[in-house]
Amino acid sequence: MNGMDKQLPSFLKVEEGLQIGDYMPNIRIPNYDSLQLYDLITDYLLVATISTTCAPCLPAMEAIDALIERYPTMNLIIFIDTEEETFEQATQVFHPSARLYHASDDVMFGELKTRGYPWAFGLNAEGQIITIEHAGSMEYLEKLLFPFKRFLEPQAAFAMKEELR
Amino acid sequence: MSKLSFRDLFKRETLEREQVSAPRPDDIREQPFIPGDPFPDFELDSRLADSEQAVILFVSLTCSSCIDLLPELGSFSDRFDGLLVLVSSGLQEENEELARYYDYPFAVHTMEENIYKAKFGLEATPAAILLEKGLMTQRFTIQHIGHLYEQSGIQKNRT
Repeated sequence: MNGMDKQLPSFLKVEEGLQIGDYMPNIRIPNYDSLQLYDLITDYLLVATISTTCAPCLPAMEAIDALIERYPTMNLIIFIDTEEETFEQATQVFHPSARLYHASDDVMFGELKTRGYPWAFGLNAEGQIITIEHAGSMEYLEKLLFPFKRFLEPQAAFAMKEELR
Repeated sequence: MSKLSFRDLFKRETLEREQVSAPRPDDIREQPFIPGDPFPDFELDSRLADSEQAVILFVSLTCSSCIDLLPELGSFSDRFDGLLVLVSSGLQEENEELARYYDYPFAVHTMEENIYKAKFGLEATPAAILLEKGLMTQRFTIQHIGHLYEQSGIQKNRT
């Protein structure tokens, strides 16, 4: 009997998830009446999904925060699965420029189709996925951002000019 | 009020469950891979020390790239002349079911992902370490099954 005749064990069944080139679903942002994901896209949008139920999300949060500090004008949003009270604490811990949205597992896996935690997607202006990376380290997040860095440069240059004044 | 930290956002048991033995990525990278060094754990399979060639594969059952690779390993095993060993982070019963389902002719060992990543200096899964007579020649993250064939020096489409 070959593998095709047998029933695939449940632990081997995985959601395919979104791939590079797919369009990210334009989900309604939880807790906002009329805000949708695509409303947040400028020339691009980076979307990170994290949870306080996942230990690898601790270094991921630190890495994401460091990335925001490095590129404060970057268009990054963070969906965080956690309890209400902890979400409020998270808004205090992250860099003031961080844009956090409270979302449940159901939203992240069911609607946003994330692959897991901590995960991140880089979208172009049309909402198409250009990069997908594990969000667990600065190195991976830099890869996530890389195709969109050209959009940062004018802002960074402007900021540098301002500093020189 | 003391300043909150990211750690304060997590329940202690969440971090204890996964981080007791979990190295941070920086810790992993501190372990240099030196070709020619002996494989660090011959207790995994005593045959590894003497096999002319061996491949040890590391997979996680929560990693979709790993699961994509699993149906291909039987054919890879058929084409690979050396010793193949699979290390999986699944539960013991899951790994036994996995081996039965795919009729694997090679051994499947159970080891927690955090432990094998730390012990063998792996950054991601699926990963492979290649040995020649017990000495490590390569360590890499497997991008796809063709990549494993290439790195192992065998033709994927050989009949």
